[in-house]
Amino acid sequence: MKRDDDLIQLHDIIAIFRRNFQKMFLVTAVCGGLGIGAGYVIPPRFKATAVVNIQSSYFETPMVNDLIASVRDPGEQNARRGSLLRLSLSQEFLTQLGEKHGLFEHPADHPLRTVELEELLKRIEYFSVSPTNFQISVGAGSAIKSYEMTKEVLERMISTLYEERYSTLVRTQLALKSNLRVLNNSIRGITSPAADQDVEGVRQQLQAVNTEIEILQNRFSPQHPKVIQLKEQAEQLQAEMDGIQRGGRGRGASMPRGIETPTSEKSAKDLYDELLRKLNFLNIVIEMEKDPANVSYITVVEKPVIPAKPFSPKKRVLAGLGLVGGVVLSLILAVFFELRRGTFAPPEVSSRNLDVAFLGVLPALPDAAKMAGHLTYQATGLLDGPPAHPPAPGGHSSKKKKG
Amino acid sequence: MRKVIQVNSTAQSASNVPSPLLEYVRFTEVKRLVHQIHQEQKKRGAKSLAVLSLHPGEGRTFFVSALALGYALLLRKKVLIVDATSQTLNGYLFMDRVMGRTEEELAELGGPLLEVVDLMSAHNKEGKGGESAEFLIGPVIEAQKDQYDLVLFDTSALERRNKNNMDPVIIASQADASIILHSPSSADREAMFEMRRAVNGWNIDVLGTVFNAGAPK
Repeated sequence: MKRDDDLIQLHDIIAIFRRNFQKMFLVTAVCGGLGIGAGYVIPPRFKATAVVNIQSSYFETPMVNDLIASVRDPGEQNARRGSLLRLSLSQEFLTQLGEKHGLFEHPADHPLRTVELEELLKRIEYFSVSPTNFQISVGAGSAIKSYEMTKEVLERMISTLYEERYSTLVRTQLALKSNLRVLNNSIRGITSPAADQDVEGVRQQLQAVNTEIEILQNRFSPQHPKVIQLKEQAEQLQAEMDGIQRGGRGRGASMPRGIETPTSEKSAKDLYDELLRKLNFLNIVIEMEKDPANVSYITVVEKPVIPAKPFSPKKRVLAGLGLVGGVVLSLILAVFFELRRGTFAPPEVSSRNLDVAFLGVLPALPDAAKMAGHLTYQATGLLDGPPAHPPAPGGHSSKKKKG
Repeated sequence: MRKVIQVNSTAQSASNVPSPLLEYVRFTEVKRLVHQIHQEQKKRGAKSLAVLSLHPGEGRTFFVSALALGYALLLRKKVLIVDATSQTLNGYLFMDRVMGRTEEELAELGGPLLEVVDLMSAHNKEGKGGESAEFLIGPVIEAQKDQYDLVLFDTSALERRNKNNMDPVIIASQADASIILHSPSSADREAMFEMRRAVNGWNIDVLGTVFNAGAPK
């Protein structure tokens, strides 16, 4: 016959709850209280957000598309957008930002400064919210600080986007000018070679480069990679011009390596005209984009505002977590207490606690017998009620016995 | 104290279905339990056994009835059940129900059974125990012990302490040995320690424990 205590039934669970209710309630209340308390004790964190729209036209250049590799795949464009935003968060900028807002505890030469920079970088979040929109946010201990940092990061990111595009255009412009100069020399070499016109072409080119350097230096530091690149180019042009003026250079010597020059005058002129036309378009684009107000492919969709309430800690979430944790902990404790109590131990273990022999189990009455009405617990008044258990199996039914 | 009831003398209601307890005592586990208790009883030479439990409703009376029937039916022993509980005579009707109510039922039990299970109540007619019943029960039983193979004391729950109850500890201390009945509601360690505290130091020889799996939790 199977014993009724082999399985934990609903009334066992209710009994366990009733026995441990006070402890469970206390633990749940304490954990809930801790959760609520944590909501007030944990320092608040604020996060100002901004949304910037970078259109796909950012990656295109009208009329000179065949000169500048454009990106058309949306996935690649998005990756490029993300890369450009990450590019803006240079170590130099992060250092400047952290020092301005007093976020560093260690001096610049301290090894832990790198860790602080990493932590600052983690506080700056930027992610794509739609194919062309990126959300930018910076977490900080105060609403104002968060707002200011977000604003600065946004400005930095936008200026980097401008710079990158502008420098691409300028590089293309320089390359075009260089080619035109070579073509010009080539055409003149075919018709009437004249070194003095060479000098004039290089001078014009050098002048253009110096102008670009001047413009860029107004916006960036002299250590900016683009400025350095242009300076190197200016030095090369200067050296080239000096060489021509010394009279030691001919047509072939002035040609940059890798540039093929047409042999016939007509084809050279055609190419020259085509490149000149592109250069003119490019000049127009560069001229327009010198003023960011004329640029339409980068838009700030949502400007950062001072956050009204902290994004962390979330008091309700913490209180809920505390309560849930409390319930789980109280259940674990209830099971622990019941195990200590010996609730789940077999009756043999209970007799061991008394240091006496275990004589056996008195099995439950089968239901069939109770239903016969002869031996009901309630009728006798001996027990509080009939046993709630099903008849113990084992083949001991009244009918079988009679047979 | 009065010797009260031959089993057939208090049959009150008619029924022609035999007592299910007769079926019950034939279950293997019950048989084994009866055998085990009989072995322990013989080993200790205990002729009188008190059945103790911590809480009310753990099935002491049921166990006493089943054990008495088991001794009578299976071992052909003569048993005296002594009612030393706090229940009234009417409440003790259970014993009658257990043992059979009608002549047909009693006939089914077999003739010898009527003579081998006797009931004795320590209550007076009003259903109350006498002032000194628990103290006098020992000598009374002692005088009649030779007529029976086993005397079973059905007692009140150990945790029930009021002036109308016969004290189970005093009853048990006058028996040769005691069986502790426990159920899911008293199977825990704390209850067992409480039980140990209750019986220790009162000259109670515990034969062993029986677990009533059918008692309400």
